[in-house]
Amino acid sequence: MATPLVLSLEAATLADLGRIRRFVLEGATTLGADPIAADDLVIAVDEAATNVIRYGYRDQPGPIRVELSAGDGELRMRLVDEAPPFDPTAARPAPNFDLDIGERPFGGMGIHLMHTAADRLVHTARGAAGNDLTFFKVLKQQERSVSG
Amino acid sequence: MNLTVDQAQGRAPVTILRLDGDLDAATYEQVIDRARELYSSGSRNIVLDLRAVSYMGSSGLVALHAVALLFEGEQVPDLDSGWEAHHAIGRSIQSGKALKHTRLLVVEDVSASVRRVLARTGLDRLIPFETEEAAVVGGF
Repeated sequence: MATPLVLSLEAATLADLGRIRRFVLEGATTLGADPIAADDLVIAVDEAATNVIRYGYRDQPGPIRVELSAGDGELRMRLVDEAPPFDPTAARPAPNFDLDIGERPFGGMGIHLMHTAADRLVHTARGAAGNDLTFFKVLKQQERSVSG
Repeated sequence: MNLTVDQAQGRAPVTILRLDGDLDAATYEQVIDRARELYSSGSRNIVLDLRAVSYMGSSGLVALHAVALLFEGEQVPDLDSGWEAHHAIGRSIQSGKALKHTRLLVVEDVSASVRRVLARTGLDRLIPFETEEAAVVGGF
């Protein structure tokens, strides 16, 4: 796998979300993602970074690093932060979204969008302070939907 | 996020709030604040024109829902209370209650990011939408 594309922000705030989304859109496209795959990764990074800034860093500036790489027809997007550990994969919404969203303990719409935007999601806590979240997405979503 | 306001006339007066730019966690409160001003100054039916929204995530959905509740005369969830505003959307969708005073105007392309987000979350079933301005205004 080639050297990843990297965006490293030392003091990210909500005002940086646009920059983070642009980096992912341009990077994913450069790495061969089709428009649907790239758009989905933009949604995933926006929801994840918003959660980190609002709830992890409690709206205080904090470091966020985004890495993009591609291999085996799949794009990997890694988001690294220094916020208290939070595992969004533990908040996986039930398949019947309509019936249970009001009752879920945390997460809500953002977590749902993050999960539906990625094919797979892997979270690793980095000790007491920090998260390493990797999203996997097949590069060619349009071909996949055509072939079923 | 640029916001502009137009007035139109269906069977009832309609205020059109046009959104231009990214509707994310950094901007969504601007939309709610502007809608509050419009409601306070007498508007009772609102169209949110999303055709020039380049990006919308869950914060944008919270804004749409808050505006819809406001125009129904209902209480808007506390936006600072963590996930509560998100859960309130789920409860509204589950309730199946029709919203009478808010409509969305969206692009025709169903694969556009904003439309996919509306569809994936079910918000397009909670707040009626159209792709033509005359149709959305005429709906009131």
